[in-house]
Amino acid sequence: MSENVILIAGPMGAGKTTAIRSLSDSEVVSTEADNTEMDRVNKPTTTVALDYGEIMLGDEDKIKLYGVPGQRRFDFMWRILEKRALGLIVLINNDAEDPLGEVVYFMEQFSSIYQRGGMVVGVTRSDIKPEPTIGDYVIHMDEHGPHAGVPTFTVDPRSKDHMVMMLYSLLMNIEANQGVQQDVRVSQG
Amino acid sequence: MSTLKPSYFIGFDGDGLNARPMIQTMLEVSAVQITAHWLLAIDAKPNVIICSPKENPQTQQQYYPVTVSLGDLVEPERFALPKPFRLMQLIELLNGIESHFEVEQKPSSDPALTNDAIITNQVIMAQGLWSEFADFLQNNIVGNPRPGFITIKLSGEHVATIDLAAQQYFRVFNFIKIVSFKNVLECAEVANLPPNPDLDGTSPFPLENLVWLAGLVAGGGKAAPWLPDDKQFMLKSWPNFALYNHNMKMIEMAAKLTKSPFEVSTLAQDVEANESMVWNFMNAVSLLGLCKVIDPSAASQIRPQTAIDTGNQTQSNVSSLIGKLKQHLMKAG
Repeated sequence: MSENVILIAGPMGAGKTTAIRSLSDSEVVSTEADNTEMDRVNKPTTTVALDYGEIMLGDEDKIKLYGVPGQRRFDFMWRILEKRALGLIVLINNDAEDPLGEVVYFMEQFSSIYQRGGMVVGVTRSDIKPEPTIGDYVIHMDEHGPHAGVPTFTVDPRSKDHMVMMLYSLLMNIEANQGVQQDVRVSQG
Repeated sequence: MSTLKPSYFIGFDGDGLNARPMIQTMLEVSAVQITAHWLLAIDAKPNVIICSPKENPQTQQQYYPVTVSLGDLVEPERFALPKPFRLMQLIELLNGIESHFEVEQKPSSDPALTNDAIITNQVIMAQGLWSEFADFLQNNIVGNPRPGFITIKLSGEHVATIDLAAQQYFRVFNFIKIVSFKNVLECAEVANLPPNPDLDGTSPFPLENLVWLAGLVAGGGKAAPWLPDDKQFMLKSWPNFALYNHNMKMIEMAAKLTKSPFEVSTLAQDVEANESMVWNFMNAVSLLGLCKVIDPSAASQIRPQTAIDTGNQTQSNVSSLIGKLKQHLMKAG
């Protein structure tokens, strides 16, 4: 758990690779191949293994950013990475066929991270399709899982400011959860 | 990227509802070619209603009759949308309807009924009390979409326009500068778009962004008039920080307030901020409807909104990581 791994997940076309490029201090390692699902998502290439980037914190520490492929046939990788991850950024493109279903899908796939308050949601392409709204996402997540107060924002993955805000909110949320749990443990003796 | 243009709403009736998903997609891809800002009606009264399809006996093709309405003008089946849908046909239809509306709204001899008629005109803020402007936004504008515009003048200078139908606003420069002034602020509701070369071609901002800014300055570092100063507060959900001017302290406050209720003084200590900054934040989130006010006597009954306890193995790791990330971000500017 001391590896400082942050996962970036979401359906194909949500902007995961772009988000890692916005955050990373080093050149991003991408494994892109021709998109064979052009009928679903209109982009020429897609990630087939992992995207990897880093945020260097001083000389020794770093946050490792792993972008996991969006296609569900790669979900075996998610299980492996979930065990190592401190937190999870889920990006959902609002113009997807069922964006609310997508967020619940990733919430369930990464349930252990979600349940310990380590998930943040970024809704992309809301300028193209404004609905569902952020409020709709929050209500939908609360209906489908234990209330974990997931920070949820509309974001542009090309914006470093937006991505840093998401990462910072994620870490603050994890820390606040831990603080409350510690208070509860103290009060229970 | 949209620019300042009139807004109208589209509704559906009967089997016309089947056309909704296709119309939504077509509006998205043709926004640049359509001269007005067309939105699918949710709560607002539609200006265009797409009705159940009929068959054209001459061509044997189906078409959707279209009813148009604007103010007192209601014209059933004046226009039609042929099926199968073609993008250019929708663009021509909507641009045709907008031209029709313009003709119908030509100035009459009665000045009270002209395009530029001012529906209401009031001085919102006479003495630099931004809470009055925040109240005005909350009670008259937010969640009340309707045709028309609000012009905002600061000491006589036109600085922003609210598009009431689209619930967006346009501003001549960063509004955070405007809210630092303590001048006379005047708002007028007008039927038609007032000319302002400074606003032509500018991009709109969501209205919540203006509400947030008004909330931040409404109390001047103290509780705004609508917030009690002796209670605890909690957040129902996180503010959408991507839309609002914010700083790291506000993110820290949101993380804590979504878990447990806090008094302002305690929260200020916890996040190492001035109480005035915490009040400004509380005023803004409460104006957005995100804040719960809790009586201190009931606060102890509230179960903290926290996730599953994972033990304290990662506690120091996360705190240390946050500290290093903060330093890193400050260095990066």
